Amino acid sequence: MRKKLDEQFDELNKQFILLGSVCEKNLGEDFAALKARDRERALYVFNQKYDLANRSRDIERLCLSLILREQPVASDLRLVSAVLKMVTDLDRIGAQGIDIAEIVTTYDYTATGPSFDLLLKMAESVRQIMHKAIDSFVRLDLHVAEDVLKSDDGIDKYFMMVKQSIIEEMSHSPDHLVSLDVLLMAKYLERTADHCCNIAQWVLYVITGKQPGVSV
Amino acid sequence: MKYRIFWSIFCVSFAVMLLSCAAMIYLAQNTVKDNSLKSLTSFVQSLATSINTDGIDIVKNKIQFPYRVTLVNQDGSVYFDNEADPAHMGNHLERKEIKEALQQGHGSDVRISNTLSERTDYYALKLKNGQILRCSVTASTLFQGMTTLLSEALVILIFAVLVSLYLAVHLARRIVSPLNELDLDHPLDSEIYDELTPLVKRLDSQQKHINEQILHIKRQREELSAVTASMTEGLVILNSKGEIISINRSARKLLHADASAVGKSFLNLDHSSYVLELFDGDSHDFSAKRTSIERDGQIYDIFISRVGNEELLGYALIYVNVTASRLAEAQRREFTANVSHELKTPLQSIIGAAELLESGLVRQGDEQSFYQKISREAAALVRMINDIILLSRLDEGKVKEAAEILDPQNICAEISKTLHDKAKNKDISINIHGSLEKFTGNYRYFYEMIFNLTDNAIKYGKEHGHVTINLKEENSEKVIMVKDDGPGIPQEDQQRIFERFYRVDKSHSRRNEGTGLGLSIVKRAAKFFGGDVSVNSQVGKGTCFKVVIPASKQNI
Repeated sequence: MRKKLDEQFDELNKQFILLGSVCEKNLGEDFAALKARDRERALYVFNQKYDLANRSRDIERLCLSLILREQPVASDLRLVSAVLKMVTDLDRIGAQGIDIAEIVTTYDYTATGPSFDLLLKMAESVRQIMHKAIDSFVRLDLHVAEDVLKSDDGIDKYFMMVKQSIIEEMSHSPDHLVSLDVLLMAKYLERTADHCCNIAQWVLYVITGKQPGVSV
Repeated sequence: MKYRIFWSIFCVSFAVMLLSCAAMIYLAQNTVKDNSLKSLTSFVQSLATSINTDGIDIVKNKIQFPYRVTLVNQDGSVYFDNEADPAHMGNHLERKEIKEALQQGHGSDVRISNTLSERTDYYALKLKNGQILRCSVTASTLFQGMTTLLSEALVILIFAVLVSLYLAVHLARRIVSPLNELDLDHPLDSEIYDELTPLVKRLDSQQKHINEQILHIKRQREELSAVTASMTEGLVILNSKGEIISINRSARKLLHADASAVGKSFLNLDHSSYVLELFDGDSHDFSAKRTSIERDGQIYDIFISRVGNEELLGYALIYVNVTASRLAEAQRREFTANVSHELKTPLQSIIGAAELLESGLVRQGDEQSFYQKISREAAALVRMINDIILLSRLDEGKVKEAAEILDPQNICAEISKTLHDKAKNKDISINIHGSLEKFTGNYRYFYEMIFNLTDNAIKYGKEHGHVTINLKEENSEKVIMVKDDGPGIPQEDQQRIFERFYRVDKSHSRRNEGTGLGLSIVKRAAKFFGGDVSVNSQVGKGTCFKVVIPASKQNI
């Protein structure tokens, strides 16, 4: 019995990490494509839309069948329910990665001001947070998860900076072309970081058993 | 098994006990019945005798009889009864024992009352006066006897059950205990039932076999891990599900894993994109793949092989640290690019001048300067090629140390003489201070080293300046310092001036002729002598190169 349960847990673990890594890779690819002005590359990411959705559904199915068939208790149940919650966040992250890819495929490169460079920097730090969030799940590491939660403020600051920079560009040189796509992508990135924080919180839940957002 | 033995013993003993009890009761009852019948008969006979002799009054006076006594007249009417009123009793003529007594002189009967479950024995005897004396005794039947005995019987039964229960438990335990105590690791050592000996022998032989196998596998694994542990390359072997079968020390260090990683999914260690391809790729593609990753500032080439024939059996990942070779490759590429560029520059000038001369475009009388240019550039080319050859020889380190006697003072003086004209052009004075003892070494390299330093000092020194060569012995090391009072070298360039073709002045206008190889030669030559060269410079204040050669070279 226990062996079968363990096998299913391993599978769940593997699928979850895979989905997380694909999302992380997509995010990296999005901005690599944006930097390299490679629309094909972005299109490749965009085409994974349904594949990603299927992966999420698979993980949900796995969780539910685990609960129904194996009736996990204690920390096992905590893990399964946390994964069930986290997969929603990953699903959103994946969808945002796809959305960004869609923007990249139609991005107008005549507008590349300081806000653009700022956006690329922001993307890199969001990718790092994403990596850390997945890492915290893989290692069930309290410190890494807390690190992720702490770095969210930095991303919010980045978003404000991008916004400020766009406003400045608009006010200082009215002729200068400004792309609202930059703002849009920054917002997506900011949401992605928020979802990463959610994941980190659920990882904390798995480790400590304290439900996120509930003060004991 | 214990349970079954217990139940068999218990049931058997219980059944035996029950049966023997029943038999005993039955036998006892029969004996009791016979005895009572006999005593009844003898009582009747003795009473009849006494009535016959003493008359009927005995009966009437003696009311206390152990039996019910009845006197019946010949017509069947009751004459006397000691327990009931004869007037109320019916005619007894039809009773079996009376009938028999009338006919044969005595009779008996047994009547069982079902309602009361009682049995009454009757015995009748004909008296001399024709009357019939009948006595009867009522006894409880077998079942009645049993019901009266029930409480005692129950106590005995419960006691017996308890005893048999205890015995059954004890016996079952005793029978099973040798099996339980059987030492499975050394089955032959323990005493066991003969019937189990073949089984135990088989167990023992299989045990030995398994132990051998385990030892074999263990040894193999140890051999493998001993071989892989000393590998500088990281080696990870995964099964088809991506779980780690083996991971060697280098790979553990590289992936920040510990020994507990074995048996877990590789994804737990690394979830970079190259691993994703491993897990997501077409499972029938067994070709090896090669990718590169950067970890902790080191570059690794990863060779990923999928192992299997028809079906995927596992993966083998080899991590090779290629940082040094990548760096060397980059340097070599830069060097080649520089060499071709540097070689092309004088050649272009030569070709240009030659073409002009060839096409007759040069005014008469000007040819001389073109010839001069060609020969100057050709000389530069030769100088550079010589430098490159010298450098590559120093690189290879194949040059045997020629045991020439070096006199530093003499060499410096020679160099100063050679560069005298050049120095005079810029009005630079060359001074030699101090002295060093003679020692053995390669003359050419030592000469080139000092020459290049002095040449550089003149080339980059300011006009009307001074160049000083200082020779001294310091802590038994030979120290040669070449100092100028030129513009100096900026701090950020000082790290790179010993690289080949590196020039502080990046413009290709090249006011100063030079190959860009001079300081590399100095560095290489210093290394050749087992020493090193360092620079100390401040912008605007001049530069000082310091060559230190350890005293391992024997002084003469």
